[in-house]
Amino acid sequence: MDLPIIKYSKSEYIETDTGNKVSRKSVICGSQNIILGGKTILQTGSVIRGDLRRTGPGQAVVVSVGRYCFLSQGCVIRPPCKTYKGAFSYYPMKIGDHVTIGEGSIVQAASIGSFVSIGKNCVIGKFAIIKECSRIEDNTVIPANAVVPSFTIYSGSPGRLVDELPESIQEIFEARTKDRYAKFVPSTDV
Amino acid sequence: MLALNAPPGQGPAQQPFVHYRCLCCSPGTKPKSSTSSEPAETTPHETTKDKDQQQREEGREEEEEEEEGKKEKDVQQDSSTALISITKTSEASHPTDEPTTGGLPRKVMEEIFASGNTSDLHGSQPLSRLYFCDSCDEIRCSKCSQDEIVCYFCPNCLFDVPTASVKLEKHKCSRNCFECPICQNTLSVVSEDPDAGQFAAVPPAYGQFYLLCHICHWNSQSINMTFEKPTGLAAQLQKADETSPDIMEFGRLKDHLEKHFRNSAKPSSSLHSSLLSSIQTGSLRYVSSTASSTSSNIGGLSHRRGGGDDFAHYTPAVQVMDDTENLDTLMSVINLNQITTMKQRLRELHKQPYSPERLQPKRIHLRIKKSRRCRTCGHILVNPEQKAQSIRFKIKLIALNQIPNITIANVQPMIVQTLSRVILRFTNPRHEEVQVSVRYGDGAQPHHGVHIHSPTFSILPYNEVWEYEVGTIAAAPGSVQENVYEKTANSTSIVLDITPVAAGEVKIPLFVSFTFKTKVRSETGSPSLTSTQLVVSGASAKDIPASDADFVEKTVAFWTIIGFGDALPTLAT
Repeated sequence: MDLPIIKYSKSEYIETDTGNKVSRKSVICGSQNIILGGKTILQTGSVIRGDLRRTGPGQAVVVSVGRYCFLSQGCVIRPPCKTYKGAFSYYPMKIGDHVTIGEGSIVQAASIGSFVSIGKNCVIGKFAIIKECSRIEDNTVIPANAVVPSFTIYSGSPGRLVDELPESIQEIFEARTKDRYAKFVPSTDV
Repeated sequence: MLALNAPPGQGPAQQPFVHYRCLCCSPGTKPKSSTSSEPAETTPHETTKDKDQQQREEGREEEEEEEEGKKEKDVQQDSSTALISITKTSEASHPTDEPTTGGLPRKVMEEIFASGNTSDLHGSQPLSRLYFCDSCDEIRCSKCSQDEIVCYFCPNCLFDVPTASVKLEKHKCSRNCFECPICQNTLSVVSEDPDAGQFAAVPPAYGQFYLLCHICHWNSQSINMTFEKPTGLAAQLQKADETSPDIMEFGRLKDHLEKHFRNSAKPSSSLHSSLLSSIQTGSLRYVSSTASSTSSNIGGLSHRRGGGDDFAHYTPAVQVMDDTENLDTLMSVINLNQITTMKQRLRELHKQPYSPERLQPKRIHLRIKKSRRCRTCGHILVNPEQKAQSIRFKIKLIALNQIPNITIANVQPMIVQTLSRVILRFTNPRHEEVQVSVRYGDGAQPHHGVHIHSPTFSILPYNEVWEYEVGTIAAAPGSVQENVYEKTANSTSIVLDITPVAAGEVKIPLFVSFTFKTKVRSETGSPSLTSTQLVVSGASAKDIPASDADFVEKTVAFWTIIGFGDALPTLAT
């Protein structure tokens, strides 16, 4: 089945030169520390905490998001933190290309590879590593420090491996995120 | 189009879907055995036994295979005559509505048609799970392709484990990866002292490090397991593993069977030697890993040798403990948290402790990367890079990139005895233009009324440039000759009128064949043309014009089953 066309009100979204579409109703903290790769959509109510940066002077990229990513309504991207050698600090987070994060999911991963799909209402624990070409089902809790290898499906609380993904998953995710970006269009009647 | 899109929680049966059927799974007649070089008896995966036989056969030397091939040609001829008779019956049942067969001989086409003309979902899969062998020009599924292990890696630390040490380390990670005995999650190594490592000069106290589960907060201190160093912990646990009775018993049983194979294998018996070698190299694939198939494997083996293949009786060195002494304690248990669950117990096969305090953390099992090989022609379909962390493939012949992708572009709610219009979009992933013909399989039960508005049409080739031009209407002037619904870039949409005859899920089988011109491979044209290519690539070099001499027309046919969701009963008026 084809993806439905999502219409948004033109006044709500800001479109950048690189094609990112960012809702004015999203919460972007510390925008100077956030990189969006282009053609990435941040829907209403999504939160990116770019202000939670490593202590110390200088510019630092806190959250970098790749191309064709889709952050659904109400998802929270928050860099992971820990106390190391007596000092509390936040650590940068990297999200690859063609990544979908479902509604209401909270992500504190250390890194999310490309071609990853995270379902609705998931919790991705601190410093989790989600490798390329993997899928997290809805309502899954990935514990802190966990590793999700490539070509796997994780589900449940705590998240466990439930199935493998086919070799063609890269093409499927790529086609889907591109299709979704193409179908995320401003409504004409506004 | 894909099951992946189906939201979880709802049965896939009610969702619209497009499934492709691999020929090997067709419930009807046997797949194109006339074109395959394999003997009829080893037609892919009818039973596990066949698989095993196939595997053993693969181990044979090529000379033998060639010899066999000669013998089998006679068999093939027999089977092809049988197929002609099948074809005749199918022709009688479908006298009209002849599809454009392109270069494919009608015989094979009809045979494929007859083989899958049913709406039975058995053996059909979403396109994403299928492969396409470009030397057989056929869809392959996971059953008619064969897995081979490319490399082993730990799913937690993602380190590659060399094949040599896999067996030694009992297929488990030998680094610092452990799973929680309570919740089977990954444990982390933590230090008692949060400032550890801050002052390198201070020698760490004994028992400074322990394992901690972040989910259930189990920690290894509760079973008095602490470590001096944060590294090399697996070596300590592995020692315990190696002395555990169940692992030792398994090793003994394996030695026993291996010895038996080695002694009984005649030099001429390729069957045994190949099996033995597969055991020795550890490549006996997981086809036989389940208990049932192993037993059938051994059973089949002994049967094959005329019943004279009795294994020497194996006396187990370990006796299973009697459990009755625990009975009283277990009867008096009030709180279920005081005893271990079945799952936890079965992780420690020999001890099977009832008390959670006696559970030990386990090393994490390794995972494998697999390559896939076509069972018919032996060509590699999928071959990933050897590195564990790489997601690239050296060879990747997936069906998604080779055959037209069908998506349901628009579907109206289905109502019984009411015509509803459905739009199917065919997308061409190939770099060649393809001619598609679609035919409704009338073997469906119930037999819904289906009218295809443009049963034959063409799809323009895929072109990367279109990716950058969103919404291009690529139909060049004059190219829209067919009465299709829509023609854009590399996709063509057609209209189907469906009149459901009964309530319930509407599934219709569609027979799709497509023809494309492809460059002749270097070996084709020479006398070494394989039988498969001869049959499938119908137009020989003589038939095609001189300008197109480098190109050969190929036709590929397959069955799809398309579900349009539930049909509602007729509204009472």
